[in-house]
Amino acid sequence: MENEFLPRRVRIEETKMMTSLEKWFKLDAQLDFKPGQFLEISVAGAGEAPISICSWNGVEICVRKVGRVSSALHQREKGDFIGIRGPYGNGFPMKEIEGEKLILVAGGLGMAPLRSVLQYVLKNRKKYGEVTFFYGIKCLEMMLFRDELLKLMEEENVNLHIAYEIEDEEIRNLKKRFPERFHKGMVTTLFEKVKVNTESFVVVCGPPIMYKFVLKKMEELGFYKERIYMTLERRMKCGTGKCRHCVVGIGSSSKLICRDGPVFSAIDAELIRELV
Amino acid sequence: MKKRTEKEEGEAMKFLKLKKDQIEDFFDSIHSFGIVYAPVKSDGKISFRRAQNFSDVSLEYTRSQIPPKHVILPMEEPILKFREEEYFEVVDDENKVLLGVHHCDIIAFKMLDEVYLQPPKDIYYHERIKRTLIIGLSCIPDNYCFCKATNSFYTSDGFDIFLHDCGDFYFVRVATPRGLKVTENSKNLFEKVDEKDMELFVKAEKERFERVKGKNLWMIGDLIELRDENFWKIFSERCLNCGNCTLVCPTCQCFEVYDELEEDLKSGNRFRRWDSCMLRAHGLVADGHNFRERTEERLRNRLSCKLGEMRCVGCGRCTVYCPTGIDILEIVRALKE
Repeated sequence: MENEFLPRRVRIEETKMMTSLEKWFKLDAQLDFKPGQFLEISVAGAGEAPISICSWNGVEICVRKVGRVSSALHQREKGDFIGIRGPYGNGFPMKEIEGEKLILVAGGLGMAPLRSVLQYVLKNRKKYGEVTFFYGIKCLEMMLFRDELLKLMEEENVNLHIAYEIEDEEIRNLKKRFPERFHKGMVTTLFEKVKVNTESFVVVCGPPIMYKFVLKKMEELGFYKERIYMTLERRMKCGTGKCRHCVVGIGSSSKLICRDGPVFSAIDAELIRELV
Repeated sequence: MKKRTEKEEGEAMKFLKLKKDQIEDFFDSIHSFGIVYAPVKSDGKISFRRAQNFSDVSLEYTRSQIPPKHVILPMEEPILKFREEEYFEVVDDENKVLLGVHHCDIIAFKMLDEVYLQPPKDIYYHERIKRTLIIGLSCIPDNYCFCKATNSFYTSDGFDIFLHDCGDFYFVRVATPRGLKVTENSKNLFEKVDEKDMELFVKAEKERFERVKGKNLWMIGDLIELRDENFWKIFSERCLNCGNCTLVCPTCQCFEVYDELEEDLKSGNRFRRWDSCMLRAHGLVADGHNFRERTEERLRNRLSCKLGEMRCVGCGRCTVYCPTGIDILEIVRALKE
């Protein structure tokens, strides 16, 4: 019988430090997954942690060093092995969004799951309308996938804008190189600086606090709630709806983030207590 | 998906009679079907333990402190062995007999089935429960029981054999082919039931019914949602966040997963252990954010899980074992006020 708890052993194909805190791993794994789904990453001796897939071309993860498992993972290099289970969760409704305009809103490490959406869209570029990417960072050192994103700014495929909190020499230089693409403030300020179509679909990922602000902003602007999707974080221990660490809501309307999510719409957020 | 308790076509309940002076022989006979776990009294408390001698077993009891859940879902169990990044399954293939399980605790297993046997199946739970012969036993209710309100006063499935205490004999219900095999194995111990036995069975059940207080839980789920934080504070101020209520709950399912290394620092075990939503760490995520930081949020979540989603069997354990006397029915009364 299939044991859902048994990790598959995979080799790390490549790694790169993205920032002082985040490390990127390319895994030697064949996996059928959807953008927005996550894996249970296993490091023997340290344990398991739920981590989003941050790619569409191949299996990649981007991990912030915050706990036992992520710290152990940061010690692993090219050629080492780790365990994976999954993919788990529902993922973003990429089919439903086809033919529509799309706005991606990422804050900090929220860039990782949304990169999976971004790569999917770029791969199927003709299926989608105008694509806007809003990315909020604290400072340039904390910007993930920097080279890739700066390269995107030079292209026409995606309308990419960055909100930053701390300005430095490098940001000032980038502002000269890419006029009107770097804005000081939170990610929500980009909605004031950049003209967006309120009929667009929106996918959001960021720290817990960000969702409230983003949802409020979108409501002010008149976006359709059923077109706003966010991917949420909890400490999923099993990924299969059994350990119940990711329960949200009250009574019969309660949901398990690992099984019913991690992607939920703004309508869900209104109906399910404690979702955001 | 076919349920564990679902009957095969043509399967029906069989009724027998077991005289009380035969129960010890019956107890001795079931050892050939597996390791026997039964209610054992120690320190004045009943718990389900391995029982070799009938003299250790207490069949007349109100409630065990820890429900029999742990026989199928141990408090802590290794789920994998690993050596570097190679993982190996650890599966318990022991045949077990779980003797003396009350209606409510059998229904609790059916609720756990809904979680653990739902795809993808949890093989640890599945392997154990399918190798476990469950012998039910009628209970002796007290004032803490509210199983009528949770519809768990009486069960017609979820067991192989059920023993109803009717004074000087047990009225026996046999629900599965496996149960039938057990009774046929000790044919000489069982008798056919007649009209009189049936009457005594009904009488005993009626008396048991009278002992459980009538309660009802209508609209509780909505009220849990409607009440604001101030409501939950009344109770959370008394809560010690000790997690006793979840520890003794027969339907609590939460678990934690963690690794332990051997001395070579390369091999080790992955364990899982019961967790409690009443403990602060339950809602914690990686960067320190806690989705249920405050006691009142955790208390409301627990009540929502138990009475909102109706994953409660009315056994009364959470009230009995709360060190500060938080009474689940007192919360229910307050919710309705």
